[in-house]
Amino acid sequence: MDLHSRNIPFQIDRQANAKNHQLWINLGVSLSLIISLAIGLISFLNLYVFQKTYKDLNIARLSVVARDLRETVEVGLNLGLSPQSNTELDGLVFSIKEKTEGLRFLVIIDEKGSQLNHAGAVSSELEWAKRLDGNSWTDEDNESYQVGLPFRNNFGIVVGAVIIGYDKSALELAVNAMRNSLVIDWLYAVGAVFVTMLSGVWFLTIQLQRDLDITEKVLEHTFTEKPYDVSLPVLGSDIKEGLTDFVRISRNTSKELARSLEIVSKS
Amino acid sequence: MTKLLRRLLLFTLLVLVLSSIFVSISAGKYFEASLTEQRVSEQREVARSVIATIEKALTHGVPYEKFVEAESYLEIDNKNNPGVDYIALTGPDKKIIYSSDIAQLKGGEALYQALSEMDVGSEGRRIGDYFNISIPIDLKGETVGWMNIGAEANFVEQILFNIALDILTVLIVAALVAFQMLGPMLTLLFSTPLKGLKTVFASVAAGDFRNYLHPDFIGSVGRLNRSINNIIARVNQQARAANNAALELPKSLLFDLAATHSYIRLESVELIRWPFFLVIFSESLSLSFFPTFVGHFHDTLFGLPRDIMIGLPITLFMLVWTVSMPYSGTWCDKIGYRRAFGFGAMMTTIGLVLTAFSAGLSDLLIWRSMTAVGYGTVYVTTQAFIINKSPASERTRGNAMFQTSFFAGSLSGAAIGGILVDRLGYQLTFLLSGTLSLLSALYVIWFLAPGVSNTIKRKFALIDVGTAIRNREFGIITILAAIPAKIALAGFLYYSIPIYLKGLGYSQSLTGRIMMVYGLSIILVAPIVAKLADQRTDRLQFVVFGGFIAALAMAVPDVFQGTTGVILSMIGLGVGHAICVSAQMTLINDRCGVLVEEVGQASTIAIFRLIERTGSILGPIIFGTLITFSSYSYTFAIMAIFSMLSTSIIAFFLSSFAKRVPLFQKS
Repeated sequence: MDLHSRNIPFQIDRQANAKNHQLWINLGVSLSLIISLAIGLISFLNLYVFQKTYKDLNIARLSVVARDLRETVEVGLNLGLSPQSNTELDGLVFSIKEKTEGLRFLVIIDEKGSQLNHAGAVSSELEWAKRLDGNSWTDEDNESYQVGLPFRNNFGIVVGAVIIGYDKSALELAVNAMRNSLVIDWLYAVGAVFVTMLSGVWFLTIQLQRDLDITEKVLEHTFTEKPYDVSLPVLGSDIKEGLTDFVRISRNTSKELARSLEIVSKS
Repeated sequence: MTKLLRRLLLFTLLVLVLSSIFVSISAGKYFEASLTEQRVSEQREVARSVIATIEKALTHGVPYEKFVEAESYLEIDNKNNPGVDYIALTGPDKKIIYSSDIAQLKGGEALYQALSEMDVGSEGRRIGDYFNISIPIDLKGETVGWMNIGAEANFVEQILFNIALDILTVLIVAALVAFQMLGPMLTLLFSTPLKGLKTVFASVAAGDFRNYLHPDFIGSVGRLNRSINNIIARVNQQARAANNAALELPKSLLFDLAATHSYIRLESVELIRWPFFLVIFSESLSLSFFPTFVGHFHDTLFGLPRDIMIGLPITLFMLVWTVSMPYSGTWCDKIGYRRAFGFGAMMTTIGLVLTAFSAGLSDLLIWRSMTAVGYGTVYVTTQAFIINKSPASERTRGNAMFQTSFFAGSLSGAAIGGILVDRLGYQLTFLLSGTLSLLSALYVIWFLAPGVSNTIKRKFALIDVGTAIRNREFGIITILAAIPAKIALAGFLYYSIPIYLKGLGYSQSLTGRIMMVYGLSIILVAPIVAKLADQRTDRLQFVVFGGFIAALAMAVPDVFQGTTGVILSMIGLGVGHAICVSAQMTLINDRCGVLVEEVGQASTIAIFRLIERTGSILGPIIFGTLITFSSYSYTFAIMAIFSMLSTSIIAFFLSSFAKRVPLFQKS
């Protein structure tokens, strides 16, 4: 006999209740979805953190290359060699492009923004001449992130810049690989969350489910059975007393009205 | 039932924390592997550059041991590359031949010794406090020496530490979002239907069969509604039959004779929490990138400097928001919470969507003003709803919920917005904000009952502000508690702390993280303190105690230098405001019943908010002036003393006034 329905002569029809909303499923699934959303958000934000840090580190790495090249250009200028007449530069530019991972292009411009030496697919969308204010800069277009380092002649006047472009697709490759790893971990976590939450919620709500089953049965039998003394430990004594009064008053009122109607119909 | 809800909440939080830790630690491990390699490759790049020069000299026939001025060359290269601390060239016998100035480094002598004795290899390794990479120098296929290049080993730890901080920030944001969803969900599933059962049982016990429970679509406790409605419907059906047969019905009972089927609509303050959070979240999404977005509309026609132009829509938004609040408040009192909130959220939606399609600065100013009206309406309506629907014994908790939802929405919105705009672009991010705001409008229209507040409804007039200030309790609480709190918030937290930390050389991201501590302190402390405040009859002690803590917090950076002082100060200010700010509104309701009766509930709140905002305007001006003419430490000390004094005056005057009977004494 069910502990909480010992005073009830009818049995809880589990089959019928299965048709009702199953509390533990509704609650377990909803809570699991919230947690899944939260940890999905963590993974999404972490991916962004990774992307940003990875990009910054690569730009720092490529800045080394740009500084190196700028130094070569400035050494040439000190010797009176403009970048156009510095025969070593072309070879150096190509050599750096070949040896440096993720480098999309490398270009040397003069003070008007005209390209003097270059290697790789140089971006043509940006107006570099406008950036020649003496400070280094970073920029981006659809294909690349760029670092620009201006160089100066013997008089300290900015006469051009070295610009390197980091291939966005190289970053995307790394980010995609990281995304896949994070998604797989998220899926593992979601699986574990659903199993844990559903079983945990089921366990925690067993008694509430019983209380609701009993209350529902009592309500269903309002007009057909005598009021029963029930125990509702989870719903509490307030609900228990309210239920008893509700059933009693409804039943008595219904009986009284039925009797009156019966008298009328007989007469 | 409370026990069950607590267990469910704890269990959910436990699973949330464990699963979050799992994905965070796992992400941290991936990051460590990938990003350390990237960081080391910067060192390798420097090495490659130096080796190229050396190999060029070697191919020109210069002997490895006889380079001229090699050490000064290495020193220059070292200085040009901030990611490198030393460069040393060794011969085939591992002895150092040339190096940058290793002796001046921390532990330089030991490092020099270790470099001379270690087994060389191309793998990176740790030597004392440094992370070293050795690369062979080749001439015609033969290794003539090795190049050792190193940086402080904690650069890897630093990267991982920064990532760990980022992950922790992310974890907090996700937990805030999840927590904001959990509360309303448990309310919908348990608390509200349980309240419904109690209400209908009480109604029938009083002989009233006219009320039905709203059909339930969610399950849980609400699944009983159908059975209860069937019983009531059957009794009413019999009553109608008896009535039609001209029988006399029991006089003590009331029946639904006209078959109107009126439903009991239950409202919990939790119902408004989620939509309010959504509106704040949606508007806060643009916080981090809004100045950059406005920068795109720089229009020379206006003749304004770029910086002023960028600030214009932000200032206008604040102005319209502040000015519209009293009018929105009166309007909310008149038309009811559901319509006012729905209207506000819809206005916010339209404003955000149109912002996405702004073509110029003038457009943008109009759409931002529209958004501000909507935002202000939602803000006032929510607070009025909470005060009106909370029993007097839970009103501070209601205000704390308002405060925590506001900060949770702002913090998580600002954190996520910057990321979304990088991925989606400005237009889609604004459209997403609009969609979230629309969802909140729909939620409110679905879940909130129509109906109006039970205070008087009349048009707002500016004279009401005067009436409010002339009410001595209102005037004292607003001028001496609310305004100083806003001065501290805007002047100390938002204005002084970022420039103070920048002056100390800390990055913008670290500043952002430290400032988050304020919001988190409020979110964590406000609900606990509010529970205590609700157990007391007078909230004055909380306003005073919180005021003192907030005042002391401003002086903390004078005692503890650097980030420690600022973090402690943020915690102190957050805890202080968590204690006093929620209690301020309740105290006004407790002490200013006559005023509320005279001008209306929402209008009183709106006037309070309107006056309080002068603190937000004055804060940066006061702090800025004091910092310009003195120093940070004097400014912080002066403002701490000012706050202490204002709090002491409140304590003195309000303690001496007789307590007024609150107007809305709900149970």
